[in-house]
Amino acid sequence: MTRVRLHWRLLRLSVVILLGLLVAAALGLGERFAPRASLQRRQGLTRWFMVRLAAALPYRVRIIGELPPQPMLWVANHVSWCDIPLLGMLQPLSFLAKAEVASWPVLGWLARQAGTLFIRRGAGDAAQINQQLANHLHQGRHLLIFPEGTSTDGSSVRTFHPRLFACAIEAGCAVQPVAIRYLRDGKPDTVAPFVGDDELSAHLRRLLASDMAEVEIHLLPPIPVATLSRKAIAERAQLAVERALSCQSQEAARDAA
Amino acid sequence: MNAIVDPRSTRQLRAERLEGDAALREAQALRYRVFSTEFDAKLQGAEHGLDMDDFDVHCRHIGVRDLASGELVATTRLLDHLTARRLGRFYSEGEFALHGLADIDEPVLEIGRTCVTPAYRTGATIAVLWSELAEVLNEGRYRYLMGCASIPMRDGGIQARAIMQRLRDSHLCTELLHAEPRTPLPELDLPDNVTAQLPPLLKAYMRLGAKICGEPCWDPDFQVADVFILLKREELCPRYARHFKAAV
Repeated sequence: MTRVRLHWRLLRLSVVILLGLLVAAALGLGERFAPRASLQRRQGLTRWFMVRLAAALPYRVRIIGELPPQPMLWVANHVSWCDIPLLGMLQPLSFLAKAEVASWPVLGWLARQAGTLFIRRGAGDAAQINQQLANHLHQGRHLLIFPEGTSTDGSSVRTFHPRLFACAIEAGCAVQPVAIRYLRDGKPDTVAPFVGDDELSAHLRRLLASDMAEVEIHLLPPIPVATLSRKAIAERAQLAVERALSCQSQEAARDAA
Repeated sequence: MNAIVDPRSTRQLRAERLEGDAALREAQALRYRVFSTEFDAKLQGAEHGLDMDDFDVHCRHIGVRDLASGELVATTRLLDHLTARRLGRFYSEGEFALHGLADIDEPVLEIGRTCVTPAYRTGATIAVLWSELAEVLNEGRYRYLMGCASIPMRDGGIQARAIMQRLRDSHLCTELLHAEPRTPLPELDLPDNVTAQLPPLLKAYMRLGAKICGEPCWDPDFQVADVFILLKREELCPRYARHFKAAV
């Protein structure tokens, strides 16, 4: 049964990715004849794709809190590549990824077509990146970053790098902290984390072979940038995410009762 | 009259019937404060700092007062079937076509425009309000309580859609009454494995044993999705119904 389920899920996911590629290709083709596809259109199509991708993952998703009505800089803890479709389905969002992603086969191209912004680790182009991110927010588009700079197993939160928060101050838009938590039978899920040297295809098979599990997406109260320094904002956001992750899932327990 | 001490703050809260013009103004002023700040809603009577409509004078209004400050902190209004018949409709019928309503020949009470000052949004305040509601239900021998509970739509409707995916499975019942929204929610793409948290009032109704009677109605003025709920007195959930002590 498990094998049948794995293959069925793999097939479903492949169909979704194929659809995504077709849409992205059409978008690319359209661009040759029409002016550059607007960011809004890219984000809209990306959300369409993310909704289908998220639906193909073996997770039940619980949204806790309210989505921000205005465009904001979303900052989330990072556990797995699954974070991207699960968050990307909520709003038309753009992501910030490390530069290597752009050169990944297939996925890199999809990411570029989706309007992803890329950052080179350790490169001295901080000011330029900051300006690029701020421009994005200025256009009234949501932007999501993973300010830990890497993924974790979800049991703790690493330091949120203040540098990436400068764009919110520059654009004068609030920061939306998001805590994402994967749970299996009420305990931290060990299948979801995609860290370090994990290999994508092996991880995918492992994930799709497992039973359904839960994901909680905590949309925490937005932080107005006001007069705060980027360091203060980063600390506040990190603290909010840590608190949300450390508190026991009381809500879930009460709802189940 | 029901009084209760809120254990969290040793507040003394008391329920009361809001009778007479002055008390009605007080309720309308509270509604205005809550609805205009939270929903940024276009309200009739806004120029006087009041939220008022043609139903108000025909409804019974109940509220909760903080005895220390004398301030009204919660209010709701009740319309009974006899009055509704006289007026030609229930308030909810502005948003829903209520199929099956004509066949119900037992007393019905409609609840609406419930609001609580933000600082008083605790279980204790709701409990005081509902104990008074229970007495009204009991006195009038009402068999059904119906009304609406709202879900914010400022997020474009994701929360509303996610909540409906959950409620449709667990709480939908259209046998007695089918509420058909006059303005359905806008189309929105969301995976069916997504659910969301219920807003407090909706959650409270569900815990009491209420059912939803159909899809929500979109209210663009308040930027909310209104879900039609129906509570049968004999189906009150005993665990939570102690708030309804007199009615059970």
